[in-house]
Amino acid sequence: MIKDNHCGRIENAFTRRELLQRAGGGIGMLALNSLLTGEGKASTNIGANPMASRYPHGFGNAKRVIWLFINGGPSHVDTWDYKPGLEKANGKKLEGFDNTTGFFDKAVGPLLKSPFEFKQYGQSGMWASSIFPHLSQHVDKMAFIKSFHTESNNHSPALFMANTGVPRMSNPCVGSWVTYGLGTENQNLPAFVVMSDPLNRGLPKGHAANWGSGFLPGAFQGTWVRSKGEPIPNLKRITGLSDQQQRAQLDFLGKLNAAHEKRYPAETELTARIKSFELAYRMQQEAPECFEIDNEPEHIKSLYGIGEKRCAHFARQCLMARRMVERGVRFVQIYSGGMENARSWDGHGDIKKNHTQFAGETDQPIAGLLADLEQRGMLDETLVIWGGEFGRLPVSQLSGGKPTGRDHNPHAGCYWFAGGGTRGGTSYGETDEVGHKAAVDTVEIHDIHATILHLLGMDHKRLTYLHSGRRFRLTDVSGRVIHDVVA
Amino acid sequence: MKNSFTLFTLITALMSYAVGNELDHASKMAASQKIFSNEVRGMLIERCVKCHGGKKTRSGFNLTTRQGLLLGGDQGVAVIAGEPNESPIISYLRHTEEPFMPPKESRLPDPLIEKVEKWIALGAAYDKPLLDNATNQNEGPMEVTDEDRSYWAFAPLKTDFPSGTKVDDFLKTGELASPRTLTRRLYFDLTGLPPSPEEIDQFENDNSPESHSKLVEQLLGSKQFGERWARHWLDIARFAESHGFEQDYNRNFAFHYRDFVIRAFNENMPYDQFVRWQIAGDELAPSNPMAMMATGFLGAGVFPTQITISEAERVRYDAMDDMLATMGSAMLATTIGCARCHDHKYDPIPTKDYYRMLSAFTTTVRSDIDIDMSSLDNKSNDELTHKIKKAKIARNDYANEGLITAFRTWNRERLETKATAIKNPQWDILSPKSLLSQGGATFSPQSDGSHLASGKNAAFDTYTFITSTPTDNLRAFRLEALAHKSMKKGGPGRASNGNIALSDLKVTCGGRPLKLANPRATFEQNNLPVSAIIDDNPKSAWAIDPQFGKDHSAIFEITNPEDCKTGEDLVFVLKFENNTGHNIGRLRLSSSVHEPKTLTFSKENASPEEIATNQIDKLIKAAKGKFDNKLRARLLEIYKPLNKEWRELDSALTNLESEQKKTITKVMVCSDGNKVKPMRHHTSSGSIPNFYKQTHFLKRGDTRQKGEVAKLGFLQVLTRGDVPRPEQSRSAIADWITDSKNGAGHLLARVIVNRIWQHYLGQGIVATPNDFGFQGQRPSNPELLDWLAHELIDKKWNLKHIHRIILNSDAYRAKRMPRRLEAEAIRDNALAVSDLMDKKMYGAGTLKEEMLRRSIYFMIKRTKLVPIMQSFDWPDSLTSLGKRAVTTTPSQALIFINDPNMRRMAEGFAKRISAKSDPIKEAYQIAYGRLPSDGELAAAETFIGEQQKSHSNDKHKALSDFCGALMSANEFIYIE
Repeated sequence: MIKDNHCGRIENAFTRRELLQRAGGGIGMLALNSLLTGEGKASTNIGANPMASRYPHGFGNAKRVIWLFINGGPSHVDTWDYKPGLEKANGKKLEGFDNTTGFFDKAVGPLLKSPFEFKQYGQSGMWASSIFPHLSQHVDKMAFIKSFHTESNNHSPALFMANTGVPRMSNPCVGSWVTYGLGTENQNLPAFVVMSDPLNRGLPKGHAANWGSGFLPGAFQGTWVRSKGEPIPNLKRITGLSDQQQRAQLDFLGKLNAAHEKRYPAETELTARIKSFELAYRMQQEAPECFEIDNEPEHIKSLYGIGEKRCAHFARQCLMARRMVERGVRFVQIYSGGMENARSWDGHGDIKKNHTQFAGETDQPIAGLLADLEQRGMLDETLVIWGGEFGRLPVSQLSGGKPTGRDHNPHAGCYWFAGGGTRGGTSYGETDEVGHKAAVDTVEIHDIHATILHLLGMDHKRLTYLHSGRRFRLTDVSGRVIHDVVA
Repeated sequence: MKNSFTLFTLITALMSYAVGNELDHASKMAASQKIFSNEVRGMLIERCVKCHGGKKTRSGFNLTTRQGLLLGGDQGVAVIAGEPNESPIISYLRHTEEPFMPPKESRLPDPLIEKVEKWIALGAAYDKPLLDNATNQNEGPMEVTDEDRSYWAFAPLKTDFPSGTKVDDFLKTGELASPRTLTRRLYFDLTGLPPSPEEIDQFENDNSPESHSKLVEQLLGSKQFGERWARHWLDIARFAESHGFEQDYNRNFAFHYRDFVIRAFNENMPYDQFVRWQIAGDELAPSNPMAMMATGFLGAGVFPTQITISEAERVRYDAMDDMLATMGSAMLATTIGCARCHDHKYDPIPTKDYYRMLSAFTTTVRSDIDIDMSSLDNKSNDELTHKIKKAKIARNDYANEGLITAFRTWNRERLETKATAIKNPQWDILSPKSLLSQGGATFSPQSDGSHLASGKNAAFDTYTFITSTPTDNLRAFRLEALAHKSMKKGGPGRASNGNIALSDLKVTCGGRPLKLANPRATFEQNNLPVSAIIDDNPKSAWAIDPQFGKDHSAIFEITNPEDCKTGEDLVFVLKFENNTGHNIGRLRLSSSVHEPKTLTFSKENASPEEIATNQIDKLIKAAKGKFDNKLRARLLEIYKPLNKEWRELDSALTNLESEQKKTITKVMVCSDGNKVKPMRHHTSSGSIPNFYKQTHFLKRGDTRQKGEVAKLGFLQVLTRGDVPRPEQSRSAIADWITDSKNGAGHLLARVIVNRIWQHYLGQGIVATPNDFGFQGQRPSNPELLDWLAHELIDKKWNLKHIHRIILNSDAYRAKRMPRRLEAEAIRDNALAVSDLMDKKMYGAGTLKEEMLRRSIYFMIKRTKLVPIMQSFDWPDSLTSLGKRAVTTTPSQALIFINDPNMRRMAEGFAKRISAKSDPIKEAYQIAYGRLPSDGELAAAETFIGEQQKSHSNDKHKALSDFCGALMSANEFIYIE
């Protein structure tokens, strides 16, 4: 729970506790349905305020999440999953390989060792590739999952899978489920914020469906922060209206509403709406401040790498993310890279060039974020996630006849968690000798989702929403908490 | 998938054992077993096992063995041994948490529940399984029994209602609302728009007892009724106008489905027909545009446009599932889709039924087809045809008489004055005897002598242009690639960016090659110079990126002019082999006899009149006085565009013809992929089929685990006796679903009357409008539901009859708590009071928020939902939605106070009232349908006065602030 009170608006997180207590158990997610009701219930009214902060089950350290979405499919064998076996087999054919595993079945080349050097770092001796000179200094904070695998070899189904648990465009994403479960701690800011590539390289495939609320009420969808102009819509007063004039207008509106409310004293919805105008007024005053990173001290800016041309854009977003979580935003997702191919981590043509570039864009900013969260004492309660939709193949993809690229690999990939009650300096699961498939303690996305919810204090089996006759879960009928990465 | 779950549960269970010591554990288990044998076992057999391991295994929870009991079901753990307080089963038994168990039955007596608690606390021991043959696997294939058919939703309707039965016979109603309140309520409920002050007055002054029902009739008959009620159905139909997924391509002709729903509701199409056409309009009435538009229902769901080979078949099954599952939820409030991977967990729907029904959609694909919509608005096409005939005669008559005289006069005057002919033009435009595209493009001649390509745009094309050599000793050619609005970025090329890439030009005269040299061009793209056209490399080319939308030309000198002989065939061969589809879109070739160095790219000589005049001159010269009919016809042909009368007659005819053509419209339909051209995207590779010939039973929904081919069938639980089962056809499904004798007709009727009731009364008789199954709610008033459904069928599925009987009931007219309007009605209300609304109906929508049409005409693009709509709980349009959520958020409030569009409406509202003698009273009448109280009036006057002062006496601004506040207030969007 954030005690530090930058905006002075952090709402009491415990007021709704009594509503959430389940008979006998004290564990409250099913009871949420009486507060948050969908079509299956007697009322569709989402309580007085869908965003009121709610109290989780009582376990879990994490209060908020920053997910650095490594978009396009980061290559596990070139980042964190060191494969001496691949080095040895360099140039050989991978026997039994199914050419339709990746996207380009006619450009399959021989096994390709990582063009980067791997070394062990920290007290834990975790391996890291030379493309992460800054992040490698933080491996003792990271809990690696090196046996991730997924269903689709195609960007958007795999992106939907990573974000919503199904490879289709239909379900709510993790951020929506989390805000549905926990509400938010600062009513003056959006609960769930998404930032995408600011360098005009496009949006991740599937666009806004990656942060959509699906069948959950629209209030839980991610707020996409524009990289230019007004970050959130309608924060600016209409031209020609001064603050004082608007204040007078809102006071007059208050009178209109008060007279109306007298006629229906029992309707909490009307009262909530009256309150929402005051919240809006405050949000309009205070939200812009959250996005103003220029006032941060120089040493903080340089910690994130804001002065460096290659990574300034991502550094700004990471710093903004810190300012947001500091002010009580529940869930922040930042996409590294834009759409596909050379515009994201989708290194089809030249893995060395591609990953050098995108690691360069993110290494110092993420390292800065981890260091900054730690020095502010926020890392314990902030879960930082690094990972994307799938990994990449150990075999090369031929590009102009040369074995320089890597194609999509749904069978293996790597994630790491830091902070938020995770066990730093550990590694869970393994891929096979060359990194083709997850082999030991394999992890599917539902397990990652279950673990995220667990770290936030929610039981993924009990966080449900009734829609079209079914109680839906983020983890569908699967999901297992990976206790090995939980501290 | 169940395995990880099992493991977790077992670990939890094991951990609880570890608490006590061994001996303690053994004695506890013995005590537990004793309770089991004496009390619990009998109770479980009597009250639980039938649905949990006996005939059925609901929720995947099988308690016939202890292992199964501890395993839990789909909803998670039910029993944790040793932990009764943590075992959800206790709350279910105590009816403190849903699902209440046993369902729909009285609660177990408290002492018995206490026994169960004790039993669990001691370890939940069994003496032996509850059934002799019990296993932990689900039993064999689900059988649908008559008992299943007697479940309330599947059972036949109760029909023995006395004649003269009314809604109010089923309900007790409190005090009625005032006429003023009711007027406003009716307007919003039926049209989604506010009544004007005059309309309220009119209703209030009508003291006749029929005034209410008169207003009901008036509004049911208004055009806005369809626009209001169509939107409710579109939620259910998960309607949107884009594919979703990667590219989220637009479906530009999908809006016709929305228009179908509006029209169908307005013309009170019988509900059974409305349903039948949505399922199989293309089979049932292919010549009726409404029936074809209706099939948009099937194809309104998402579809991935980038598919890899390994996903192709799953994607196809997903697409069919979307059609079937939506049909099930929308029309039968039945979650058929849940039976895709296994027998339905709660409802009597075996997986077999699912695949049998799914097979009806085997060949169903989306397609954009041309449909003649003329019958839609009852526009008589005959009248138009007659007009066209008359216009044709008039034009032809003139061509045979007046035109000849006019030509003679024109030619004489021209020769006398010799004013129009240009002497020695730089360039002679060449008109071809033939112009062919190897790739299949077609060319149409333009009035400036150019030729516009259309139709097929081959990846690599070759154009062959043949003409007669106009004169000896040609010195140069000019090749023009001209802009045209029909091309991307205005051309001049047909490439996806408007570019050209001409790789080769060869010219021969009488078979002798003409040598070209010293080329120059208006513009050359980097590394793609004009010289590449005549170099030896067949792939190198001339291109013009980024100079799109402009005319370009290239000039070539002829180094062997002596080879040019008048009248011999002059053949140009243009090759485009450099880049995909980079063919010239509008081509013009010219020749010159002038010294090449002096030639410019000039377009002098290019006016239609000059071209015609030159051509005529040449023809006359060549004829040397011999005029035959062929030549006369040719001369008139060239001359007629210059003649004003002919042009007028011709354009009159063309206009009529294009009006007739206008009724032919592209519509997105769903139909048999063997009969229509399936919609396809460049992102699906060539080997991926649009559909598969057969639909198989799949094990666990997995396309790699195929069973036999599925033959058409229906839900057994909704089938009685013999139902005809023709081969794979959707019309068979349409017949069955509307069959109120042996098919699903009774449920179909229950579901729709419940939806209508829900929209008027705020809550359905069944509170789960999309699920009438076991997991859904039970009807709060089953008799009323059955009576309404019976009325619907009895009155030949007349929907407005149901609206009418509900609206005229006291139940509807009673006082009620205010309800918030939906997104569309909120915005439409603001638009209506602003007086800015454009009431144009139908047609393509837009994403522009500043649009002034009703909100139903917003285009629904899945990845770019219109923000204001989304903010007020617009559906996600991904799956069927029976009831929208209502949320209240600060971002909604920000729209009211800061959104420029909202402000524009407030300003429109202010303008509307400013000229009135009492603007405040008028504003209250418009916004709230009532006059302000004295207090409200005074407060408003004070506010406006103060604002006016602070706005440097700008009254309009002050009034706009006032109107903005009125529109932001609860009373504006909460309707009593």
